[in-house]
Formats: sequence, structure tokens, C-alpha cells
Amino acid sequence: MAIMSAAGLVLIGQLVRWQVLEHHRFVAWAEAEHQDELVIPARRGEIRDATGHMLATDLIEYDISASPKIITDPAATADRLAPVLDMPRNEILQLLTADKPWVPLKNKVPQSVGETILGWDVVGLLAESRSVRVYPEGRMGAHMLGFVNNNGNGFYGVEGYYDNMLNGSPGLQAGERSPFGDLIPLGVSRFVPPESGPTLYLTVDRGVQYVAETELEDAVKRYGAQSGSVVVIQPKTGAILALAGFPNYDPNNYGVSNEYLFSNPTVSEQYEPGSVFKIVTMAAGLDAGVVGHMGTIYDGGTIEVGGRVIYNWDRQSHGEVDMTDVLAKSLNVGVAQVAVALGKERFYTYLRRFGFGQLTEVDLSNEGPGTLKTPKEANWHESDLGTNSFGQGIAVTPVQIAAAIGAVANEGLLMKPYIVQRIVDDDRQVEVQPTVIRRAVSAETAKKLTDMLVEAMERAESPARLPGYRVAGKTGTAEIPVPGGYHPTLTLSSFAGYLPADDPELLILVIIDRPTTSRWGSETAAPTFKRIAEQLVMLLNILPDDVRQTVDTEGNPQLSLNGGN
Amino acid sequence: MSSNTMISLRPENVIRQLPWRLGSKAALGFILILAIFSLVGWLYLTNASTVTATSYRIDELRFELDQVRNQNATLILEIAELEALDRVEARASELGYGPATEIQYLTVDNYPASTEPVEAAAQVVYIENSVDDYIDDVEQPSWWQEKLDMMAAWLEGRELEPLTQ
Repeated sequence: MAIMSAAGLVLIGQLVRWQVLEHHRFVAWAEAEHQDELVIPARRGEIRDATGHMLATDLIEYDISASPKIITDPAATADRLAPVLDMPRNEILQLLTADKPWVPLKNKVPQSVGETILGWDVVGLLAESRSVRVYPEGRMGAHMLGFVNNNGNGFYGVEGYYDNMLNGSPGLQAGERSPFGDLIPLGVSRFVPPESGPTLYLTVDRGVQYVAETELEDAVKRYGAQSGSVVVIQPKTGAILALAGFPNYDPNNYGVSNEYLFSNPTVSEQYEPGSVFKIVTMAAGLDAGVVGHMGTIYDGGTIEVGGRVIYNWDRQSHGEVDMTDVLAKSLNVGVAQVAVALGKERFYTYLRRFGFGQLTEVDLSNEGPGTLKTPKEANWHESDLGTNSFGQGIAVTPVQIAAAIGAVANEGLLMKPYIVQRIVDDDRQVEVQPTVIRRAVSAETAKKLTDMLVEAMERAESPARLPGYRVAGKTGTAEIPVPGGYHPTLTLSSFAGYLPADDPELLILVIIDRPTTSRWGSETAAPTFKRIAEQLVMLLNILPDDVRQTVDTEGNPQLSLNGGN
Repeated sequence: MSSNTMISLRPENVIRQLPWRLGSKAALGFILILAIFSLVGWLYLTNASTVTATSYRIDELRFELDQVRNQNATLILEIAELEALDRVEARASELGYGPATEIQYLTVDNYPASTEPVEAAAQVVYIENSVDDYIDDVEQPSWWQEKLDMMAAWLEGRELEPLTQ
């Protein structure tokens, strides 16, 4: 009797626990048995160029598999599958008769094949769809676009920077399900449709990008270089028209590429700019009034700054030279005198105004800030004032230097570079506006310097000159830092220029890394600049100076007809 | 004890004599209720089967819609691949086209074309700071420092500024 009473008490106790104390847990457990939630992935937003051409989109592919134990007629199924999957019939039959609960048959089959198999409705045959990112232009624009991995996560470039936005919002299908997993129509259910990611329209024109990439690849091969980069921007707005890096990779098959190729060299890799940087030093000197554009200085061939002796690239003294000659002959001693005259405070203030040592905040993933030591920092040395003046001991990213020189082209206003022009969703459209970061130098200084750069190119008979157009630009030949100093022979050659000089539509920066046929920027980067520029003026319908000025003075709207022969 | 009660075993008599036999009104009521329940049941089942069928149809249509969307996306992708510039260039070369080497511009008076430059449409959104602003992280020389620099320059026999005019 006592045993029965005890058993009764235990039973009552358990009943109280199940029915009262842990009521909610058991209800939730029961619901979980027949309630189900299916997350419906959202379609990732497309990326298109400025003209609307598709650069990245999603494609549906299917993975085909089977559960051999529930396939009733393996032989007939193999007969049907063989021609569709383009696989030997015997191989399929072997898989379908394997003693396994599940076997993969073929992955990544096209959408049409997957839907054909689904249409057969064969029990035990599975066709699972998945989204794959596709880049119809292949390698073109790989660095600026980035890629998307198998989990749908974007990396590098636009894909990386706008990953969250492009992903959209996944949908949800929730409700009571039958033992076979089908939604019970009369049960309580909920359906939230997925929201696709918006379409991004870039500022990049794929024609400009194509020219930049083909010419860059040609230049890297022609000059026996290791790599190279090209940046093309519209200086008045900061809109990026092309970003090219070579070698590049195919984002459709990123898995077979070396990981080091993924990094976008135009925003992530920093380099010592060399003599291209003299544009910035000269802009600072002119703006502060320590040099006049018509003024002269004496170049004795050397100058000592902070205990370090600075030489010209040719180790020669050029005597009395004007400031345009300093640019034309690319005299290190000349610009070092300008920097010394400015003084460290003003010099570095100007460098900051031009955006060095800071992110440009371009809308691309993995941007680097470059390296700028200022007098406030412990590792800054007085001699840095001299070496920094001609682009040594300072590291910049290509986009950073392009933006800085773009400020000179844009009447002294530093623009924020940007690559997404428009974001289009189902019911809204956001247009990205150009953004002025700050004024780097006065409009008058910028105008004077532009004239000096044009004149300097004429005096130096630069191979970057383009017939019919006034081009303002500067070559650079930077030594490559190695542990303990600089590499004795290898250089990084570059050219930055903009045109038409009086009303700049294009700024092109060409960087050729470690050319072997010639170490000089004037013999490698400058001709590459010209080859790119002469195609872009045609592509973008930028009129030659005389045609444009005729139109301007007469005030007539005009039609330009392009004729090639 | 004897009983005068006659029990007839004829079926009609048996039915008539059953204790739960209903009156004709009650029977009518019962049939009416049964009919109403049957009607409600039939309506429910019809409705449920319609809902179920519609639900499956919606699922099918959703699936079809997805398929059509995907097919559309595939076709758009095919167009994009066919328009890819390397392919276009290769095809143009096959057809004997090459890059333009010379351009001739003709000026046509009063041609109704817009001469507004592209950038005119662009609107500057803000200016972060003006030309007079200093950048915070660069130390500016104090008044005394400037005078000392000038003194040092004078002692060294060099002009601090300007370098040229």
C-alpha cells in the first residue's frame, strides 16, 4: 500500500511538472515537431556600369543528387539521366544502385537541366538550386568588382564594400508541415517574400575600363614589368571612370587564382610616388607664396636637409632655373628648396589638405590610408622634409594620388572619389552626388600650376603629349624601398596627367611596377598614358582644343562627327 | 399470473412499438439538423479542398514565377556575355574593323545639341572645411617659433621666404 502511494505521488508529481511547471517547454517542443520555417534567400543585387551594361549578376545552378534506396527503377532513371547530365549511363547506374542513403550525381548543372529533372518528379531524385555570382565580362574590372564566395559573401571591391546592401533581405515561409515536409495549407502559416538587393550603377564606363585594362596589360608585357595599375577619374566630380590592375584574375573562378591577386592595387596597395609628387609640393609652394610661377632658383646639384644630402636624378647642377624647369627637368633639389622654404608645418599641412595619410573614403573595400609621417611623430626626421618633397619616404595609394592631382585639375578643390553613381531599388532611386572634401589650394594656384605643367611637358618633349590637346602632367620614377635602403636598379615608373588642361574631363594615372626595358617613367608610363588618352578622347567625345575653342568663341552648339581611316 | 398483453412480432409493429420512436415533427427536426450539419460539413470540406488546391496552385505559381525570373536572368546574362567587349572586339576584327586612327570634326551651325558640360548636372553636396581651416594633427608654429626661425635664418644668411617671386 505504501509502495503504491509512493508511486502515485511520484506520478502526480511528474504530471504536475509536465502539465504546469514545464508546460511551455513541452508546448514549444510539440510545436517544433510540426512547425517549420524555410528561409528563402534573396536575390543579390546586380552591378551595372554607367551605361547600364551588366557587370555582375546571379545565375541559378542545380546540384543533382539521389537517394538510391527509394529509387524504384534505377536502370530506367539512369537511361533518362545520362543524356541530360552528359554522363556515362553505367556510371549513373552504379551510383543509383550504391548501398548509400544519398549520392551526389553532378554539381553546378545549368538551370534548364535542373528544371527538366525536377519536372520528371521521380521520387528519390533531388535537384537543389543555388545562386552563383556571374561576371559576364570575365576578368575585366575584377579588382574593382571583387567577388562573391559560395556562401554568398562579397569580398573586395564593390562586392565587399556594398555586401550587406547587395544581399537584400531573405524571405520566410513558416507554418505547420506534414511528415513529408509539405506545408499544410489549412494550418497557420506565414509568408514573407524576400527582398532582392538593389542594382548598383557604377560611375565606371566599361569602354573606358576596357581601354585602361588592355593598354595596361600591353604596357606591363611590353616593358617587362612585374605589375601595373591605371586610375581614370573625372577630376571635376571625383567619379571613377576606370580602375585597372594587372595581373588580375577571373572572379567567375576566383578559387583557382592566387590570393594575392584579389587585393585591389589601386586602393589597397601603397607605393612611394616619386616625382609625380612634385606637383603637390609645387602646389603648396605656389599657394603659400614662397615661390612664384615665374620665379627662379639656383640649383647647385645638391641640397642638405636635416643632415641628408639630396641630389638630382642625374646628379647634375642645372644652375639658375625657373619653377617650370624644376618640373620639366624633375629637379629634386628644386622642390626640396620649396619644401624647406615652406617649413615643416606648412608643408605637412598642405599634404594633409591634399588628403595624404588619410583614407579617401572611396566606396571600395580594403582601402589603405598610405603612410605620411608628420613632425608630430617620433619617427619623423628633419631630412624627411627634403625627401618627402619629391615623393620619397612617403607612401600613397594610386587613388589617393589621383584624387590629390585631381584637386589641382579641379581649381584646387579636393573631391571625394566614388564609384557607385546610382542605387536603384524597386521603388526608389538614390543618386550619389559629388562631394568636395576641402579646398587644397586656391583656384589661382591650381590654374598657374596647370599652365606650368603643360609648359613643362612641352619643354621636356614628353611622350605623353597628345596632338590637339593641352595635357598637364608629370612623370615619376620612384626607387623601390627594400630593407636597408632602396633597390639599386628597379623602379616604379608612373605618369599622372589630365586633359584638356583648361577644362579637364579626364585624369589618368599610370603606374608601371618594376619595368625592365627602361627604368624611367618618361619611357614607360608616359607613352602608356598617351595610348590610353588618345583612345579615351575618342570614346568620350572630348573635342580637341581648337575645335572646342571655336565652338566656345562662336557660341554655336555643334555636332562632332568621328571619322576614322 | 397471466398476462393479457399481446406482443406482436411483425416488423411494422415492432418499429411502431419501439420506446425511442419519435413523432413526425421531431423526426423532421432531426432530419433538418442532420441536413444542416451535412450542408455545413459539405461546405467546410468544399472550402477546405478549394483552399488546399489554391494553396498548392499558389506554391506552383510561385515556383513557376521563380523559374521564369531565373530564365529571364539567364537570358539577360547571355545577352551581357554576347555583348562582352573582348568578344565584340574579336568579332569586329573578324569583320575587318580596326581602331580609328584619325578623327575629323565638322562644325555644324545651329545644330540642336546640348553644350552643357556633363559636370554641370553634378551638384556639390558639402564642403567639409574651407581653405582657412588648419588640419588638426599638424602642429602649427607659434608666434615665438616663427620669430626664432626668422632669427635663425637671418643668422645663417638665408631668407626664410619667399624663395622666389
